[in-house]
Amino acid sequence: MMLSSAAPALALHGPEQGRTRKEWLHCVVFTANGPLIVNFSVDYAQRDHEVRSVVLFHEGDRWIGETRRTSRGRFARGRGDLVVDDENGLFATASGPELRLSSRAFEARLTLRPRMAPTPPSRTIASGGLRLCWSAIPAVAATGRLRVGRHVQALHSAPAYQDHNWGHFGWGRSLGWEWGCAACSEEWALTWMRTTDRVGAREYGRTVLLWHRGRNVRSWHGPELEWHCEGDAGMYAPVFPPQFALLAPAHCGAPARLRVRGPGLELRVETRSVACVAVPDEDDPLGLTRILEVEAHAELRVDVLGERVAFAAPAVAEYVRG
Amino acid sequence: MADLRALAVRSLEALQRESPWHAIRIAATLANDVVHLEIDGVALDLAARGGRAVLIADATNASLRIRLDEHCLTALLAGVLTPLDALESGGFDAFGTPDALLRGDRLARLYLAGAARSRSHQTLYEEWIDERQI
Repeated sequence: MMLSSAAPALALHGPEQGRTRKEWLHCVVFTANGPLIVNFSVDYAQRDHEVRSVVLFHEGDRWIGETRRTSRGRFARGRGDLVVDDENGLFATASGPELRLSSRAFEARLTLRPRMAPTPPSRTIASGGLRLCWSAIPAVAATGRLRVGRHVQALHSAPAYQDHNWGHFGWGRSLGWEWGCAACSEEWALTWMRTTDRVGAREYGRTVLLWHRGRNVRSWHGPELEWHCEGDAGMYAPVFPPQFALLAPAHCGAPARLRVRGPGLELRVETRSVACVAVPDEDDPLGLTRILEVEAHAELRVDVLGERVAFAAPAVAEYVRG
Repeated sequence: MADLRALAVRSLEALQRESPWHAIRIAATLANDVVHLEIDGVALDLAARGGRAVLIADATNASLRIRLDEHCLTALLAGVLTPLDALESGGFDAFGTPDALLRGDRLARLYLAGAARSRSHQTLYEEWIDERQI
């Protein structure tokens, strides 16, 4: 099953909008040593359709990360793969999508086996004509070999998450989000998303989705959810690429926790560690957008399938602010 | 190890080519001034000539003089040292009038923001870091 099969249309193209068109594949693999976060993206605003990759791994009390930009990458939408080069990317293979990494810091060959069909694309329409579509496979099994630095791990059906995003927006314009996923168990998968303007003041949508054995068993949307980012994580966040640290504020600005309540739902996501991925703003030639990648701990209590279910699970969250 | 001056020239050329908005403003901010950089004893004098920022030889009229040791510069570029930490460590000094120091701050911000948008600077940065085995 290819992620892109959920979003084959991509009918947003058009010369008037091409300047801000972006598309990316995001992947989280929860390993025993910490989460691996991988993002491959295409920026159609660049004349040569620049492909960017961000790879982060949180281990112990530190983040290991790499970013890369290339004009030699390619995104085969029909095949669903996004290739940075021969050794790095998400490749469509006969046995399913394969995540490949090869660099000084990372080496991976991981087969990503979806445990469920991709979610139907959800669309956010923000002010200024900005649009963002999101389709996720929150339950994925990752199998293969991962090296981070000198440490090698063999993964056997490790819980993973994958999504595909596309739309028209520019970094630094009025769009931000709070997203996350939790590695509940082999049977349960959870993800959440709130889209806002870049300062979080104006909201475009909020949702929490829960799956059991590949079936969406509960969904909460909009006003039925109370959504609160609380406190300030107040911690040092390493910046990737590191040389952007001289331009990024020292204060990371991630919340200490996210609390979400709804009918039969209590979700608490505690920030444990934060890395900052910095992306140059597109309208402000001196500005940076900070994408805060958070290693987190999620606690969930939910009434579902006639019973109350509780989880405590490793999670990854992302906060995008201007 | 790559020659520091050659690396600086490549950086300025890449900025001109890939981040012209920033390159133009760096030259305008320099105006008729000269910024003297000294990195582990290697002198680099930055000035504007013909609307471009270039390195010149034998400058004597720099209003801003910056001294950095290479270890400090590498730590700044690797994000493990803040400019304030660098000043406190003694590996970084800046001399000039308040106006010159403010102009230096603006030049640094323009340069870094331009480099952040220039793909060639990824290669230059990796060369710098790789050679120093960070």
